Amino acid sequence: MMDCERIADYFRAVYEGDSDAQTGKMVKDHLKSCAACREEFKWYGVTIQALANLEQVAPPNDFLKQLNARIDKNSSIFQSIISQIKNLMNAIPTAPVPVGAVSLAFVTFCAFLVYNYTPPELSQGGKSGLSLNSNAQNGAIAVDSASRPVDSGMVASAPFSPQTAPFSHAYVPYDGPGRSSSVAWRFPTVADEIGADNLTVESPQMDLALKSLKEILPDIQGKLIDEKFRNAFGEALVGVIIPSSRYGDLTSALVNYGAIEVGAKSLESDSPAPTKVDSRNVRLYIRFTQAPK
Amino acid sequence: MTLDLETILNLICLTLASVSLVGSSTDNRDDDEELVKRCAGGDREAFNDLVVKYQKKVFSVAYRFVGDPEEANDLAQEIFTAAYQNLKSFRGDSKFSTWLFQIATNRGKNRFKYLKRRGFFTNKGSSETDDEGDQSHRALPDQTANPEELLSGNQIRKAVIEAINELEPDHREIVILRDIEGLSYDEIARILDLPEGTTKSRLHRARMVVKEKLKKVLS
Ligand SMILES: [Zn+2]
Repeated sequence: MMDCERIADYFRAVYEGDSDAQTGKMVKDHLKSCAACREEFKWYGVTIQALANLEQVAPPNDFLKQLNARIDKNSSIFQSIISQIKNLMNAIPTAPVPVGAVSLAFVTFCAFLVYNYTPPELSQGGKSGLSLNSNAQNGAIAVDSASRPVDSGMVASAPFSPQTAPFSHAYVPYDGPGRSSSVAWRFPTVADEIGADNLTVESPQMDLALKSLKEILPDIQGKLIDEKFRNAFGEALVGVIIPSSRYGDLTSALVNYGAIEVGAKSLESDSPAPTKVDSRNVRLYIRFTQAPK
Repeated sequence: MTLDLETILNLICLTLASVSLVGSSTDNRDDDEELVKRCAGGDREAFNDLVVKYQKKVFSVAYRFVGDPEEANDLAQEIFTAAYQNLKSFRGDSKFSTWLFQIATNRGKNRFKYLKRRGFFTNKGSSETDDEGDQSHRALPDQTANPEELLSGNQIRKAVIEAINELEPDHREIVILRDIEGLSYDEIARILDLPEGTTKSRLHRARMVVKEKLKKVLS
């Protein structure tokens, strides 16, 4: 006879007819003779039925129309600027050196312009600016993996898809929750396109998190290459080069240092993979954001 | 309140019937392959067809994550927009529907976490319950012998919604996919990229949490 403590472990299998005959019989025998477990099993069934019986919901009738308007709105001038930059970048390897150099300068210039430009319609609201700014306000920062244990390897391994080319990732626009859909769109930024923000660290103590990063780096043979995008919303974007094998160490160290949530890429690849620098190292951009207190 | 074992076993039979219905539709062919191909080639009509086909399901998943029609609409649109933007990178390793639900659960979970941090659900849940006042204790008379009557009660619906609002995101997601939306274990395992065994044990733990909350509110 099975004891009461273990019986609940079999509720799902027995309820769904997913247990082997012997276990099924043992559980049912126990249920027949034990009122307390029978009561628990009854509530288990009530729970499942209650969940299944929740009322049906339907999207609004003009859902498709609203969606198309939203998608069209996103096809903005920024997309075309970025596609031109892409074309130029693609042309560089075959172009004569001076042309390549001029193109690169142009690209850098465009990148600077785009990165610093805040679309008027967005800045009017005071809530949503371009790139780093907008995220801080609409909560796009903490990406997916916060609820998974970091040491599961998910954070450490996920960004290393075999993507190496700088422009390999489709831009995924994000608009913040809880806002009207009419002005919510975030424009793509050069940072999005070149593979910045491979990783987001949201911390209630951002300065500490930043400091920790700098302390961790020497230990994992990494180096700081960039730390210039700090903005009014208290975000910082830090570029580092680290051995690809130490990526896991970096993310776990950051968590240990008290950064609360570490977001890596989510399943549909909306955070770009780090860019390969050479056979050993990757370039990684980490966005530090202030967590709401 | 008493439900005898017989009634419970009847419920089990009902559930088994629905499980096997869901299960039987699982095969490896992707019905959407043609539409997806056309869509990746820039055919907006094909995309619209996909939206029409999945909007109800996606909206429903979105709604279960956020519990509010307006939020759900915004979230569902965000999900389809992300799908549209990323369709070119969809390589057909999985079914389109699996991929779409991956996006939906990811975004849903993110939005849920965002709203939860801001107390969206606490305010909502408690005010709804407060409206009911004393009724909450009378909603389930001890003599309820008929589970249908019990399950159609407004109070139990509210209790369930409150219970899932309090779930941690991983539990909420799996309860939504399995017990509310009725997806097969196989499909859920693919969407969440988990072994089927983990999917089942996680669902079980999530149900146990909901069960305890329902018991507390309704007994
Ligand atoms: Zn017992």
